[in-house]
Amino acid sequence: MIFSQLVLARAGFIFQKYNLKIIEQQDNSLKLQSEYLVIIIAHNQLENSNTLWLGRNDKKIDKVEIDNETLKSFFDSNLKLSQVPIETFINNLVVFFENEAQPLLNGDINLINELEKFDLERSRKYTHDLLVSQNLAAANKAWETSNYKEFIKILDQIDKDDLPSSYRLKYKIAHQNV
Amino acid sequence: METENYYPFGLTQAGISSQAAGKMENNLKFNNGNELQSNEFSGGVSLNWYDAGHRSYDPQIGRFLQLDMFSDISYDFTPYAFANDNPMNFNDPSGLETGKPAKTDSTTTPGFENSKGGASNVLTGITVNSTRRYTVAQNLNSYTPDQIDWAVQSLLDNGARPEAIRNWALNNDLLNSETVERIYSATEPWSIKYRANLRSWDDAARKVAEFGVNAAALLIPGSELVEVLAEFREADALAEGAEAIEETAETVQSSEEGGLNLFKHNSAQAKNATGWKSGDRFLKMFDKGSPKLNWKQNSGFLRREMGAGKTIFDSYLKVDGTLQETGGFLNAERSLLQSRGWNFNQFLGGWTPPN
Repeated sequence: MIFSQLVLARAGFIFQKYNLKIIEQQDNSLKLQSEYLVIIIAHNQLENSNTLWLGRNDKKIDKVEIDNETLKSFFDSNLKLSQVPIETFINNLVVFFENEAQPLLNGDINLINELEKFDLERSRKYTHDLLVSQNLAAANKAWETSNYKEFIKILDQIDKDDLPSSYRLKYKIAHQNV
Repeated sequence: METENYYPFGLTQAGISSQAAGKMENNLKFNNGNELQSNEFSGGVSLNWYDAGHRSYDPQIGRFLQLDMFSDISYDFTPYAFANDNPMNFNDPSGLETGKPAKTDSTTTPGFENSKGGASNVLTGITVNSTRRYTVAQNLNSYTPDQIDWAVQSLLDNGARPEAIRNWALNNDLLNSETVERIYSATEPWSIKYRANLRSWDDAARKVAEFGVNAAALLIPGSELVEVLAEFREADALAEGAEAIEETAETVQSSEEGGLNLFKHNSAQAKNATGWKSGDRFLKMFDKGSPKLNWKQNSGFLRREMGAGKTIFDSYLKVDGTLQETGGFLNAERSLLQSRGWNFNQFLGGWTPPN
């Protein structure tokens, strides 16, 4: 059965209950909108994955991806929405909408704000960690070629609290060698 | 009666030209009467170049012998190209600008007597004909600041690059200093936007607001920016960023064109209709029947793109330019890039190849 029809067959009654209107429907994606919320539910055939996005009804294009980590950290829920088969995804979607997401569907602005804040913070941390690991990789290269000046320069760009202890030691040694 | 017949790029078809009859030579010929420098040395030795005013043109190779000084506005062609490599339809009598041969009609931009009102033709009008050049300069000098702004805006709307207009004004000794200054200030915002290669002014404002002036300055090389951004915040902080501006200039340059964009399937970012640059595209994928085979195909395509060594943009970003955490192929693509030493540049919104 087609993904979007499957979702509507199982979760349609919830969308009706919360006055969520379908504004875009394709075989593998469904976009719904209420006065407060935009919800996108999509299936990716190529990687056989399913995704739920939630966000306030505004012009901003980035909505919050509700994955397993968001469910656990923000909603304090053990439900799984990512890396599960379609059947499980839709079942869990219905459970999620009827329980954890109920205040959101009712238009709890504070909760939407908090969710966006959480997501932005997560995004920042993810990017920050990625940049730190990039810098550490570059520092490693400099260290291997005994380019201590470069090593120090790179590590100076990283907050010292983010440095693993071995790098702090190397940093000291590099300073002695320069 | 003298007739001349030419091959497209200007070599004389000797057998059927009046040259064959051994008559007195008329050297003002091809390319709207450029002088052919022939027989200038004893013993019949010739350069056989046309003197196109600002450059010499060699019809034997169909190329100018000097660089096009306006090469920044005709970047589709080699700076040595003659008449956009299309001599059947165009010529270039001055060596400065390609145009339709001997065709004039009414102007669309007051003060610029040009053939089509197109921006590049304004430059032709200014540079080719000294009388016209004088008239244009006089007109501009007599314009009110608002009229100059309007004229500049017309040029920009017609596709002229702000830097080309500025260079022209700066090098034009017929313009008075007030006019040059006004042209400079009228092109300023576009110049910055052009240099910064920002997707929109909102983008610029957002970057300044989110990252502070220092970080935004990293994006945007050029001293003018420092002045403009100083209006947003204090100027001192900007001075510190000056060195970094230089360092990142090269990276920003490489992002003038769009390129490959990684995306999250069905996300709003990937479906957004605005904000794309020319050349932006996605990895093409064909369903091979299983995620494993699809990833094999996807990673193969991505590796091939990585081989080109160009910035690979990431479309799944938050408003502040940070990466939206995700799983699936996008996460795997990011991991592949990172494991091969590619670096995510938050200000470019993309992955740059290892040095």
